[in-house]
Amino acid sequence: MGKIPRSYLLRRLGIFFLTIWFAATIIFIIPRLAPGDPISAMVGDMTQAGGDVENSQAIIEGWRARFGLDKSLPEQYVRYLGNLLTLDFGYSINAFPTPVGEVIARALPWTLSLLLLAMVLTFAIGNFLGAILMWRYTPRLVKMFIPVTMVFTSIPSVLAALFLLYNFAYVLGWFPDANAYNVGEVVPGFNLAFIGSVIRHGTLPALAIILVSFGYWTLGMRGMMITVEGEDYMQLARAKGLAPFYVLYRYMIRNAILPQVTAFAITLGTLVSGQVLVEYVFQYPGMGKVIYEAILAQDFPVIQGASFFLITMTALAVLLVDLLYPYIDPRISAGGES
Amino acid sequence: MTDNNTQNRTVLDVKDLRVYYETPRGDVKAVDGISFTLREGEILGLVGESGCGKSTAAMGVLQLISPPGRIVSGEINLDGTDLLGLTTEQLRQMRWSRLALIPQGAMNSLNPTMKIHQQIADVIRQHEKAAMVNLASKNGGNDDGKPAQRMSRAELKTRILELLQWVGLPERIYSMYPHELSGGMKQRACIAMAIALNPSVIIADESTSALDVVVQRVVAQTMLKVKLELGVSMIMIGHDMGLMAQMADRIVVMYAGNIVEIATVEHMFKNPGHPYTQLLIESVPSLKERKPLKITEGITHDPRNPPPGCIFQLRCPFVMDRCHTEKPLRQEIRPGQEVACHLYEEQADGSYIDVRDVVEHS
Amino acid sequence: MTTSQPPVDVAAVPPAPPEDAPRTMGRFNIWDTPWFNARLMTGVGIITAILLMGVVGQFFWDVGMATERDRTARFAPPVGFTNFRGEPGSWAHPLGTNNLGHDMLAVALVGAPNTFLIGFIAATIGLGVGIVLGFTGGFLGGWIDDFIRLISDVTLTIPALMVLIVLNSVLDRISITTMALIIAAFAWPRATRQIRSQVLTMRESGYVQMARLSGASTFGIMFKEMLPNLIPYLFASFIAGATGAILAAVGLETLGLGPQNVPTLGGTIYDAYRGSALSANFWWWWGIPTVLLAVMFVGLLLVNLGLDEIANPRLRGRK
Repeated sequence: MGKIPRSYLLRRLGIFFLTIWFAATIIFIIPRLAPGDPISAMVGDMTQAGGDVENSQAIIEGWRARFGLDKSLPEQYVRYLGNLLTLDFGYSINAFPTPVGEVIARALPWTLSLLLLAMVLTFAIGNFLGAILMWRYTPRLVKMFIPVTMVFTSIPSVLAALFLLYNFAYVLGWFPDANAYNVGEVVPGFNLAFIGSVIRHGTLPALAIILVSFGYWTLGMRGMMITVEGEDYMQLARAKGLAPFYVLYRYMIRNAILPQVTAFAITLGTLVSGQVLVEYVFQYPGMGKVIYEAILAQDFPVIQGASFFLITMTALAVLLVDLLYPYIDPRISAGGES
Repeated sequence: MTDNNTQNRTVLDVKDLRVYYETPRGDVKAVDGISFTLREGEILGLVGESGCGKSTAAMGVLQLISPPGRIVSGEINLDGTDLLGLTTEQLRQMRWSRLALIPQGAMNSLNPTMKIHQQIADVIRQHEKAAMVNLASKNGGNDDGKPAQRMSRAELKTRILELLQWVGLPERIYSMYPHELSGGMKQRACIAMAIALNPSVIIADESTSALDVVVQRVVAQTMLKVKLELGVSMIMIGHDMGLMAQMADRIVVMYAGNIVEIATVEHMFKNPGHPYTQLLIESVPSLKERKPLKITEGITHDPRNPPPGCIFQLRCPFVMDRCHTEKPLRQEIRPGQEVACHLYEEQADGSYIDVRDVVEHS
Repeated sequence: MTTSQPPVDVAAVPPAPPEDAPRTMGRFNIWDTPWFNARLMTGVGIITAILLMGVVGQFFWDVGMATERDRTARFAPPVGFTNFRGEPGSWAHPLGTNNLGHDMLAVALVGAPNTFLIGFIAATIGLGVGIVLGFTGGFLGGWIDDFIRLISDVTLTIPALMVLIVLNSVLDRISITTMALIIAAFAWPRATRQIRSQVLTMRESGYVQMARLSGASTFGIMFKEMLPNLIPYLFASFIAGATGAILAAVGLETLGLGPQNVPTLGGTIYDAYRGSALSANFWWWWGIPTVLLAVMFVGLLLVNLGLDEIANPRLRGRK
């Protein structure tokens, strides 16, 4: 529909890089707030938590060399940033010598797929329900039914996850209680058994996220539709005698959705956070489980690497949504930034 | 402009229209029984102060009243069809193809996320069949009974460009968005949209009120062009008497939901009949003479409880006892002028005299 | 709906304004009826009930039982139910006990107010910062505004939980106040954004222009003209901030990263999860905190919706 204005693009890219840099810096500083050598402290904590750590000396030496902990702080910082650029997060203490990057890479596809599914469905279902809640031609029964479905709104997804897990996996046994697919029974690949298994395992986690999130969009969209209804161009649309569905889509939804898209970018952080917890509850082999196990094992490199990665992912998602916006709002693309 | 009596065919006939708004403490009688006709090829001005109900009346004719407003009673005959008797679907099909609107404040009347050509195209596509019939009948009535063909994209584009050019807009407007256009351009785009299906009647609701004087002139000229070249009958709502003088053939004066006078432009300005009309005319500043401004207050009665008798009794400088009890009927006091006022009494020979003249003479 | 009335006196003055009109025109008026809308009242009711429960409850129930172990009654179910060992619940522990014999009712009485406390502390700090930054940015504009917008955008984008996880995993012991402070560090951007956008709108409004023209000082305008009209938005911001803060707190607690020295609802859930309470059907162990938290969130949501109705008049009276 239009192109992105240069100033808008630059600003969004600037925020993206600034965010990543800011997050990286925070994650760099935090462990170093504690006195002493962070590596020895990590290993020391691990020993405390889980008994002897094998090759602890080798770990410490290897790390020292890797990250130049004998060097000055600014130098460490620069090396750290450089490493991040090449996606080098160091090694997992728990699973030494597995690099953190590898741990993340194994878990990432599961998290991404679940996230995408949850994102798209939440936004689509939520806004659609909000739109028809306001439409004059929606049957009354439907309008009364919709608020019932919103009973889970605003509850933390982790609680919904627990509820669903207990009721539908343990009590009713309709769904499995862990993992992304039946490990050992089903072979990963493009076969029906695998795909079916994935869907079965993914249903409850996805539901846990979607059920608690879509209500927010329904409420918001309803408000936006009310605002749009009062606009002058709605009067003209009615005077033109256009078909009701067409008016709903092209004149109402198309205009009401714009602020919703902007708001969506802001909620992405919450969505990712919620998903991490849901994965943890369901033992879904994504980043959530990785982080949880790393916390248990006090595996700091993994905690930091995974957290940083998730932050970057979120920032990237926000950037993409922001870049998408001018394509749907011509007031941004054709005529400068609003 | 005065050539209106050769085509006397009535295009729009409104009888006793009432539109009330429901409020917790009674119905507001926004339009309380108005009747008027619109003749083919004329511009009928509809004037009155803010709150007199002229916009509501227009919305009533267009069937665009939404709750808490409702049409209580009346008849609206467009080219013989009673609009109030149509089903929703029939009404929707008839919209725009026979009765169009040029909205007030075109600033916000155009969909911000649609290009100009899309907004004109969608209404053409929607009513394609009706549009074909309209065009055919306008071009000499050569409707040979064949089903209307769907326009090709190229034909549609040509038609839209044609419309834009006709209202004086450059071709590049075609692909632009409303926010890229100036106020005058937006208004003319709305005019182009309104004439797209060659309707019988167009209602223009304060179309020039939000524009500066220079742009106003261009838009007003375009609207005159619509009347003269396309023969469309128009109802122009406004409160700028000066503009009305140049544009309208006849003028309807409304006060608090009632019509107090209908007159040709000449009579309106040379011999205004109703005391309210006289106040309106006198309030137009004159370039030639200095005169004191007659301060008039606004509507003073509660719109929920209009006084019995004449609606203007609380403000009329010539109010008589009769005015408090008897509602004056509209009388044609001379050809081309109807007034609803007790000051005018019918004589035995059918002519009317103004009782003020009688009083003065005696 | 016409009422019959005596003929109007010609010399009558226009009708007097109706009695229920707000006392001042245009300005926000605290006697406006929308404040008493159903959602707001219900939500406030729920929150107050839970807070009261915590404050008053300790006089009726021994909350020490939340941390004392009752070795004789471990895994006890709530009254009316039996556990996997066939033991029935008793009134000694009406809501059951966990694996260590901690009384669940006591845990609820201590944990619920704690959770609210975290939320309110974090929200207050966030709101305070939000007011300062929102007004500064919105009112002064220019590069100050750009800068504030930039850092709040950046902070907003970062999922708070991630940083909090990193932080909490490094710190050894966390108290409730510490956690509230840390969470507050991520609570301020939303409040800042909301307040800033309201300030921007109001800055161009008639009465602010008038105040400026009449030479009022900047602070004077901010506090006397704008702030009173912002009250519904400030409340809404506070509640939204509290909701987000409690969300973050619960998230951390359920991961085992919350305060360990006091019982918290999220922490109880963590213990239950680790203790296989789900598969072994100790539903009360994780269920009671879960339900309690759910009720709290519903209460907060209702308050939020109620405030929404006040701030946006078009939403009133519709369902």
